[in-house]
Amino acid sequence: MSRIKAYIPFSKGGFLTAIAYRTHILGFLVGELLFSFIMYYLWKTVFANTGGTLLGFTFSDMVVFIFLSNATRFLIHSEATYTVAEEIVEGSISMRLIKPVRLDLSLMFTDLGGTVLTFVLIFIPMLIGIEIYRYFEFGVWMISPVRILLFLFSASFSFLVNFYFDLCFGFMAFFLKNLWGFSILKQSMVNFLSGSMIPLDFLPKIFADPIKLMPFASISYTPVMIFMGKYSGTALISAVLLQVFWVIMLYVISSLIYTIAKRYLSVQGG
Amino acid sequence: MITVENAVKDFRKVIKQPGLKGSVQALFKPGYQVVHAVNDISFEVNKGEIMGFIGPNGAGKSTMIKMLTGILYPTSGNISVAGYDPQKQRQQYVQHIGVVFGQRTQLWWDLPLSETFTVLKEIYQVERREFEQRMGYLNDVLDIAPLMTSPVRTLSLGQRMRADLAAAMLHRPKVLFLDEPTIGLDVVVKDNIRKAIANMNKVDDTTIILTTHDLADIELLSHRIMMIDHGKLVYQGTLNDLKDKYGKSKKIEFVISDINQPIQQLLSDRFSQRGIECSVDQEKGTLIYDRSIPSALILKELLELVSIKDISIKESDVESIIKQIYLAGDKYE
Repeated sequence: MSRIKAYIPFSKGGFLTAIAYRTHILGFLVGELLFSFIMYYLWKTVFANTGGTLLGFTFSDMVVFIFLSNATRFLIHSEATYTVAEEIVEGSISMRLIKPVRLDLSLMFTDLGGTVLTFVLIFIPMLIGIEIYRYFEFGVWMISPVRILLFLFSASFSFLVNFYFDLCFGFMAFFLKNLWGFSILKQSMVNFLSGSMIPLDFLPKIFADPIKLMPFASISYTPVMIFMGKYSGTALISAVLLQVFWVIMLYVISSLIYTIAKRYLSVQGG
Repeated sequence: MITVENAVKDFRKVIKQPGLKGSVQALFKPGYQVVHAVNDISFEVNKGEIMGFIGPNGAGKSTMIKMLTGILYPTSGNISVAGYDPQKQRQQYVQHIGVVFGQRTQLWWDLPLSETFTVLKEIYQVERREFEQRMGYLNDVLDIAPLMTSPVRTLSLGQRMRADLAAAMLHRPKVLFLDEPTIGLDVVVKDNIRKAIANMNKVDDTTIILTTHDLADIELLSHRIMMIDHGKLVYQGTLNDLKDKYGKSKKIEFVISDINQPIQQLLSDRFSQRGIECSVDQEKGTLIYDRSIPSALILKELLELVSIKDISIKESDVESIIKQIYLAGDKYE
């Protein structure tokens, strides 16, 4: 990591690319916001028929959950699978391999560049929106700097878990050459199992408990629960430790896959 | 500087039968065929040498370059460049090499050219003083200063190639790999690129490996050539040796002034027993003979025999020699 300076240009590149595709981001944002509102009205109907709370969640908890989950998904978004797959299909992976940089770090820093943009453009406005909502709901400001910091701390592990998970899939392109169908499968798995669609606590315990141990919960559920104050004390510490565990695990797994995969590389098209 | 021992690279190619039936079959039970892209090649290159790979399309030149640069893993065999194992020590190794793939670019497409160099400065950790000095030199040989503020996508192919070459040379690599560096360029640009390559070879004593289809690249640059065909090394040596070995014959072409004479008959009677090929088509005639026979002698005899308007003597050129070897290679398939 002493050569971190060598990777800064990749972040800059990721940032500039993200800006270049700002209409793309804007379209995405509007789409996601619409989606969040659909979820909002859906859950509103559900809560109207349950009399206030559902499995420990009040309706205002649910609102925070919906919007924050979506914002988190944006924040930790990784292009690794897509980038590796595309570079293999068109053969430009060669240009990355002839640079004296690590493959994983160069991809990660590219992602981080985009993260800076989504943090400013999407996450901060969403957070302000949530706090304003809570102010009107409870009549007092509920802002807790400690919770926000803990959220960001946990979210950075989420980023790493998601990144290395994505990378494992990306390396599959070395064997499969084309990843399109495979990456759709991955995305639906992540969306469902990470608890960003439905709080994992809403699932039957027999499913919820094993899913919570899987890396997916570490991707977005953990930081959101921390922000909402659902985890505290030892529960919080063990949830974060689980995240750290998955970062290390997925890092090791992705390195192993890469060690095998690189022998299978056949550069397509010249 | 470079040692390659028995390098082999096999690819697995999916075979699909034509039509719907074939596609369905391939979905459930794909068929594979092993292709030997590089088949048992060994060679050595010394420091400061310019080595040119030639060979027909699909011969395995690019695969060889990709193995030498650490991108592809050889199926078997050993490769060592500048004391490194290109695959096992990729990250340290590539610090010492520069690579240009004629059909790709390492420049940042949407950004002004200068940005690419700033990025490369960071990635290769080039000191500021060294960077400025190096940019000065690269501008001298490749004239890139006027391009610096233009976004890369607006550059012409020739300008882009100059910039790509400069980008590959910024960090003073010990070995420079050029995969078809003059592809698609016009004559003047080609000439400038060749001069720049020769200059960099001389100034920094850079070892250069290049592949090309343009034989002028080889004639003007390479100290030594290697001809690859169907994954095998079919020839290695200097260009002159190649000419000596394969270009054994010379050719006299002439234009006859009086076509009423039975010239074919006259020539055959005189030359055929000596292994000299003669042919006459209307007023044009040719004689092909071994280069050991003095041209003057044949010329004298020819002039005595027939009256001639015009005449020219040709040595067999590299192009026809190479064509000859490629075609011979195809026969063995």
